[in-house]
Amino acid sequence: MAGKLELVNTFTGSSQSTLNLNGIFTDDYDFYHVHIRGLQSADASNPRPTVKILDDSNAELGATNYDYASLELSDNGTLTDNNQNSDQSSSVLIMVDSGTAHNMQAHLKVFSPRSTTFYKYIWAACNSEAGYNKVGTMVKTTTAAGGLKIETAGTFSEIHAAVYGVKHE
Amino acid sequence: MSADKLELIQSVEVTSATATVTLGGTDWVNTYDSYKVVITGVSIDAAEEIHMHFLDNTNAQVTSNYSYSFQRSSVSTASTETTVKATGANDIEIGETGTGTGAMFACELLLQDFNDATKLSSGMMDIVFQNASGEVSTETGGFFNTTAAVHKGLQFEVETGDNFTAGRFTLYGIGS
Repeated sequence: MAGKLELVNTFTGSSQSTLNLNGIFTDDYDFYHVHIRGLQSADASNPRPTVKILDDSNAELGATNYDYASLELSDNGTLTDNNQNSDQSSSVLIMVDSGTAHNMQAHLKVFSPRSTTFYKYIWAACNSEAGYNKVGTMVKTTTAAGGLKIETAGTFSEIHAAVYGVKHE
Repeated sequence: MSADKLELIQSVEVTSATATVTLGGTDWVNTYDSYKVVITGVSIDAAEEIHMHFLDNTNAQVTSNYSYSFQRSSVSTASTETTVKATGANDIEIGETGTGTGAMFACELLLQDFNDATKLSSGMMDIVFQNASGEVSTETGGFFNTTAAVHKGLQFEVETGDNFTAGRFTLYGIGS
């Protein structure tokens, strides 16, 4: 029996603030796993890398389309209920320690990104030396998504992503 | 690179109003230790909770043997973090969806020990949806049946007799 988890593409970069995952979403799949790992030198005032979705022309899909609900479990023992930020320009991943490059990881589950009926929904679990974060994102657009953009106000000394599609037939 | 071990068992697409969706039953394949369920693009004809039962064979087990707990995070000025939990419940609550613009329910479930009559069938869930207030909610948690038995799938239903109107429900076996 043929397997249904298929590698769509991999991406890598270094010494940059963004990583575009262009053209990863197609009509072949309606569910995706995206695995992200990297080292980030954070901007101390804005330490969370962010996620945006791209259209088929690799343009960002709206600056006020992102609602997210997250629960951040910091390594200092605090729980941060980061749910108040509706209509943002992007969704968040996990706070990364400032200073020299620190490790960060994220696992995104992307549901029906090609739908022109539904908004875009992403479930994410993120980890760094600063803690763990669970994030649910609703991107309020019915335009079909073509890709993702990972971004930081600091610098990714290295950043890697692997995208897998899950076939349903 | 070896072939991956995620193997399709059954995919059900809802294209007209239906009260329940069943995965497994006569289509259940009992050769896997673990199973994955992916549900996406689900809409309902009224804003309601979605519930889940295990199948004993082909029938939904509506018994007071379900326990579950999950953390729900929502965008709201009034309600943010909620722990949803129950023991001895007749079903497993897994979330909801509203009827607002772009609303849908989506989740991934991992099922364990459904084929072992000596163990408790259990699972974990990662869920995201637009709730009845039009806000995004996300959940992470787990569930199990308190009686050790073989189970052969899942049945999903909408609370208070409303209907699913769209969605794809897919069951995979995770090969070893």
